[in-house]
Amino acid sequence: MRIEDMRYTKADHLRATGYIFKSMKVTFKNLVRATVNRPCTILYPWEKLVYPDNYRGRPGIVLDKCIACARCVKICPNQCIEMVPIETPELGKVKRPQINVARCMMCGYCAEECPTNAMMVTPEFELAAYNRADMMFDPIKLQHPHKPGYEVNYSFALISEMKGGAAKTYAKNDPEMHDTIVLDGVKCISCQRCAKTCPTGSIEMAETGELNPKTKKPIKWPKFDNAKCVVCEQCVEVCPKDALSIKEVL
Amino acid sequence: MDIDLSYQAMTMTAKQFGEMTQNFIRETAVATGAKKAIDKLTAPIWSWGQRNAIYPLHFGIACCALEMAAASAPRWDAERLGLIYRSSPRQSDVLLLNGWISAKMRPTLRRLYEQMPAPKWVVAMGECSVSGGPWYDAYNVIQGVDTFIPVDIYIPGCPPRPDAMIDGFLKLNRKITAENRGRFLDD
Amino acid sequence: METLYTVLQSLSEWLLGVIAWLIDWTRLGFLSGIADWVETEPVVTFLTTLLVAAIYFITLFMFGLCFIWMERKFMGRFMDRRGTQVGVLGFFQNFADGIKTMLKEHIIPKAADKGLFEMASFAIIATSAMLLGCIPLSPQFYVINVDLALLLGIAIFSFAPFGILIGGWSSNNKFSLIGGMRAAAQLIALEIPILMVVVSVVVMTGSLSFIGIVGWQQDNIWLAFPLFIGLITFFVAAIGESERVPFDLPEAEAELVEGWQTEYGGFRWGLIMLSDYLRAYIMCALVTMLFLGGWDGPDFVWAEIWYLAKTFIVFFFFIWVRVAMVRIRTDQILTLGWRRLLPLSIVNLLIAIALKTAEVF
Repeated sequence: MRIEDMRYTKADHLRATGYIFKSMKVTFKNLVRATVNRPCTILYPWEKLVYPDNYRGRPGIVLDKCIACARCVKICPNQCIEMVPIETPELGKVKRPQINVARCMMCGYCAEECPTNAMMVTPEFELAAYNRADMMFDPIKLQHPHKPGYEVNYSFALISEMKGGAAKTYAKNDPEMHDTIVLDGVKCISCQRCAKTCPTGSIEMAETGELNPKTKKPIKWPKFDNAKCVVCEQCVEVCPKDALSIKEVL
Repeated sequence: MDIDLSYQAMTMTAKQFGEMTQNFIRETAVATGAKKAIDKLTAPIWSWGQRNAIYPLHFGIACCALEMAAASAPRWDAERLGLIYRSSPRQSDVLLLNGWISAKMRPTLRRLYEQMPAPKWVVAMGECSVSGGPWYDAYNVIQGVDTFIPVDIYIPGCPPRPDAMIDGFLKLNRKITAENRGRFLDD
Repeated sequence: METLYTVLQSLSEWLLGVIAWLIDWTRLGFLSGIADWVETEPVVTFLTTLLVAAIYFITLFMFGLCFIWMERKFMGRFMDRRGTQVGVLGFFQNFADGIKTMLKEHIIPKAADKGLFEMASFAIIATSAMLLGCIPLSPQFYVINVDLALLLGIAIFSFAPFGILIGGWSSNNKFSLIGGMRAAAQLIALEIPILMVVVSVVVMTGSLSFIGIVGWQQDNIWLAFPLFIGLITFFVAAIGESERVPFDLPEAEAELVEGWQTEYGGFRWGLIMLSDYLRAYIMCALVTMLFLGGWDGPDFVWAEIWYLAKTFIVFFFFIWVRVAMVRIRTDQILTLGWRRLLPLSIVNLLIAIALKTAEVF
């Protein structure tokens, strides 16, 4: 229809009138309902909703469970986590995560990745602050009372097993099914840095049975205990000769 | 300050005379302690008025604007607290920044901030305006609004829930109560 | 009115007697003439009138605030939420608004026409507040009762579009200018049907003073029944004159920032907002007076209560229309004014003339 042919017809006029009265009827019914019953408003701050346990407010930590593997640091999309040294009574000076909530987008990846479920999501969202410093949650401030629902656990299936249809699913921390560390023995100089850095103590320097031609002492290479490894990749980063690499399980 | 004013009165303009008189009255009030007494009486009233009638600027930039809209929606009514959104910066108290601030937007926002009459506050809502958020290393996003506008309240969240935003405004109320500034004879 | 007047007269006589006694107490000879003058008749009358006007104004101002409060709460309930909750049931929100706007810095745009800018806001609020005195609450409670009160009221009311246009123009802001132009066009377009309906009411009742019109309706019938078309026309035009939704394109948010009020901040804007509601009150008051019988009602409550109850009910319809309808475009408003409401008002006038000639009433 060309624009010159568009005119208000009588039906249009009547529709306009009906539109007035119909909308007035609908709003009046809403008025009666909102006056006779309560309106649906939640009178925050005197009334608050109950949030499910897995609601992603700010992240929280249980400091006793943290092993300082720094997987949360690596996975954070906004790079808002940093390992800072704190004093603990049991272990002395250790590094624990500090979260910059001013940058945190509350995705929950840190809680997903945490192998010991020290990191968890908490339903705390009333985080407004007067300055930026109040939003830097150091490890002590980051603590939160623990509830089982706050942990983020997932299960995964391997692509290689999915070709034929449904596959077996593994839990997040399955000790059998995770990436493994592979040693390139030629490059290893037995500096033992990987064994010292490993937070779970899954690296042992084991004798390989050969002798160092110069010092006539047995050569020691790292041996990895897959059950304890959490794939934090600190050994890979710290190796001076790049002798270690990750073999992914697919 | 001279008491013998006749000579000066003949040689000053009307505007100068007005300013001199205003200064005289203000200094007298301060010196005699009248300003302090009146301020002490009226400051609670002023701050009550200011914190119960906060008018944010209706300026939605990105996703947090939807949460701002949800806070005005019936479920979490922001009008209970006296928040009425105004579209003109001349009529608003609070510059509510929601969403990432691109470099193109920055002079506009600075101009809006300057256009608002004092007393005014700035609330940075959402991670993007607090610190750049997911765009912490982008070339075109300003990492944090407080690099060019002084911010009073930061509301983290991505996006912050409507009740988190209302909680932020309640904290702003507390800040206004704490300021409690008397305004007798101030400009 | 007489009792109020005599009470206030005795009060002002006493007050002026106290002032005269104080002047005498100082025993300064040259001030004794002033002491005598203070107690004479014109001064007493002046002070009494001033007090009456002040009381009346404060009463109506409170009712204007009640209008704002009623709008916020009812709009809230229409939208399934609560309205304001500051203070007792939300009533103190108005005071908080007023206090806050009073404390704002006064900004005038640099290139704006300063005199006209100030004058425009002053014109709008002054005319709206002046009209509060024109409208009596009952035969006993009024400030003035001139014979041409209705004409005076409409005339003063029509000054505000002038102020709106000047305000939009002098703001040095193209959106304000567009808003001002649209507002002026809309308000002028909707004045004519109002005037024609007023003419038909005058034809029926034969008087231009409010007390006369309501007196006629008390003796005969409320004019809503014979002049039903006039009531509808006046109602629609009244909503348009108050610049409320669905006719508020001049201050539409998405189109024009705030329209002609964009550059006004602080106390001037607070007064403009107040004048919006005072004008809505005046329009509701006119609807009540002209069609719904003013203060006509059984005797078990005061006449003022009847009048105010009817005004609030008319305002409830204003709010209901606001909540239910979207705003329509400027050209649609002008079409409504000139091409739909004006013929309807002329038809209404013919009906009034016919009824009057046939001596039905």
